[in-house]
Amino acid sequence: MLKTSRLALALAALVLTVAPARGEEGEYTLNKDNWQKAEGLLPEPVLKRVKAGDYSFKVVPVDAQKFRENFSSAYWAASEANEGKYELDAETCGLKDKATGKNPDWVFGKPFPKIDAKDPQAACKVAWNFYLANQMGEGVGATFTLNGVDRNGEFRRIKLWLHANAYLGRHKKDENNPENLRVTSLSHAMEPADAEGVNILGQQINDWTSQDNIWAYIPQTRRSRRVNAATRSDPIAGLDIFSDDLNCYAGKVEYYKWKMAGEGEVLAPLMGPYAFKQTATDSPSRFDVPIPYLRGAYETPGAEGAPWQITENLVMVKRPVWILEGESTDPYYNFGKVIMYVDKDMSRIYWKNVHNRAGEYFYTAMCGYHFSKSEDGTYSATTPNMVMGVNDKTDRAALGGRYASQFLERNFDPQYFSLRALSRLSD
Amino acid sequence: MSAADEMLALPVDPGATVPVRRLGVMAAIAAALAVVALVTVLPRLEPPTPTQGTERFVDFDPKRVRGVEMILRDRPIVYSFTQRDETWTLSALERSVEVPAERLDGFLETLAGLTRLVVIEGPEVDLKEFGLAPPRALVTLRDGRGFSFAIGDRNPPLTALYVQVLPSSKIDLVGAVLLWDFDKLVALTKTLPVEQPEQTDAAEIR
Repeated sequence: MLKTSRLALALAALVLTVAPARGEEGEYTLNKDNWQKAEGLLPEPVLKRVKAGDYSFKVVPVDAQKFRENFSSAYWAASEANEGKYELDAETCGLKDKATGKNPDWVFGKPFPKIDAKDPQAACKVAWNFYLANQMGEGVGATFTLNGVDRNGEFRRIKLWLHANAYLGRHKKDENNPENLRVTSLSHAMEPADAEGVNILGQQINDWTSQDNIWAYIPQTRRSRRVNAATRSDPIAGLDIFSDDLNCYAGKVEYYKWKMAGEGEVLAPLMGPYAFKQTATDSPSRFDVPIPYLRGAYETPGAEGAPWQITENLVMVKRPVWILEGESTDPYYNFGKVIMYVDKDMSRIYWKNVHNRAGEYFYTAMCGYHFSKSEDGTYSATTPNMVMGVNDKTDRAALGGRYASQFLERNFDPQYFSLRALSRLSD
Repeated sequence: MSAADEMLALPVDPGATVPVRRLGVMAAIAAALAVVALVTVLPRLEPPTPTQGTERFVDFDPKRVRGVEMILRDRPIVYSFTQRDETWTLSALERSVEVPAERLDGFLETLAGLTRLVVIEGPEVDLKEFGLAPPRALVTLRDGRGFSFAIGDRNPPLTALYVQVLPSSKIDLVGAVLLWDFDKLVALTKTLPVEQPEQTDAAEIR
């Protein structure tokens, strides 16, 4: 009798320990049979595809506190200390240091740790939290592919590498920033033959008004040409993916007019709910991050649903979000109203719905991330790993990213991101 | 002696005449060419001004609108948004509440910017197929003249919305962004606690 009671008690204890908290759910697969579970948690065009059997997602529970710890403790401490230090330029939405009245040259952590949805500038503040969190990893690089996929499978594949160096939101200020940049990037196309050797250099100047500087090197003409910043809304190589899909928004904050549309919860696409380990290399400033590959249905034998959906190593976690609207004032920018879902705590944009200039919805980007952290937890990075861009007008998609390894570089030479390097890469 | 000094030392012919007329003609030609270049070449260096390619769905000035009324399919009462002194107020069933102006301004700006993507007309058109019998909502704008339109369903890929400017029998397809902004107005009705009347036949709202 005593043994039975003890056993019952032990079982009860086990159930209490293992069972998720009330209101929380364990891991499950979201698909056409239980799509109702995601009502209000996914943008409508995405939910429609779940309902139709195009997509199925693995949904996993997440510990909110542990999830927060994907960012370094220094980040959270700096965010708290930033309270009250910054304000916005009313006309441009530019970030302003209250002490100097000028735009700052380095801001680590959230410049606006507390957001009040009723604040008329709330959306712009959320946008700044997002923009600076992108830069905490400092320098990053990865080799990846862009894959155009339609109902018949892959129709085009471009392989390239992208290296970027951030100055404004990094953990440690970089004093060597002679061109007063917020971020700079260099990319090089490797495949196919018709795109090989095309290099692009990008610069975002740290001010409130200038457009991005973009130069493209075309090997056939052996010339570097200046490109309009609005081309960030042009399809890349005819694929259903855009330069502005990086992090779901890759422009300067000042480039959009931001509006707060609401708040809610979404299923957030991630490589995993918790941070990957950064591994040391021969260089004290460089770290590698091994990452599992996000396999697409088009490359998975016997996979069902849309050929562009991800079948391996992608999980969804439920996250609280601000819902923002962004609209460019540049008449040459192709997008009209863009609706973005931004994590309230981690400042990641997970989804965006894009309308064209005529107000017609046409495109949804799912932006998947991974987090990585140093051994001692003092340095962290959040990196876009995958964009699934779906054109709902043409029922076609593109996958971007999905790299299996990346490096983090905390001490890039600024000369590496130069016009000279741009042309020499293909010499 | 340097070459320059040698040049200066050369004798000057006092009888030589300056070809003033020829110089004048050349200057006039150069000036004319400069004017032609200014008029023809320079404007081409400027990027062309983007233009709206297709016909506007409705032609009105959002700043002149002083009132918006809507009747929803599932709540057949009249919700009125009224603007006074830059402030918008929502009223229904003798209750009212101030609402954020940017919601109304956003809706009106979106509506004013829409273009007709497709026009559907003909005797065989069945309004029910487009969610217009009964419609999702009837909206009336008060801008001095007043006009009404009915909002129906979205098209199958959810990219656009069927609407009908009343009393026309034509159905227009416009960008789905209108529904996004309209839904934000509908959300405002929740800030106004009203007793719901008994449900009537939704078709009666037409």
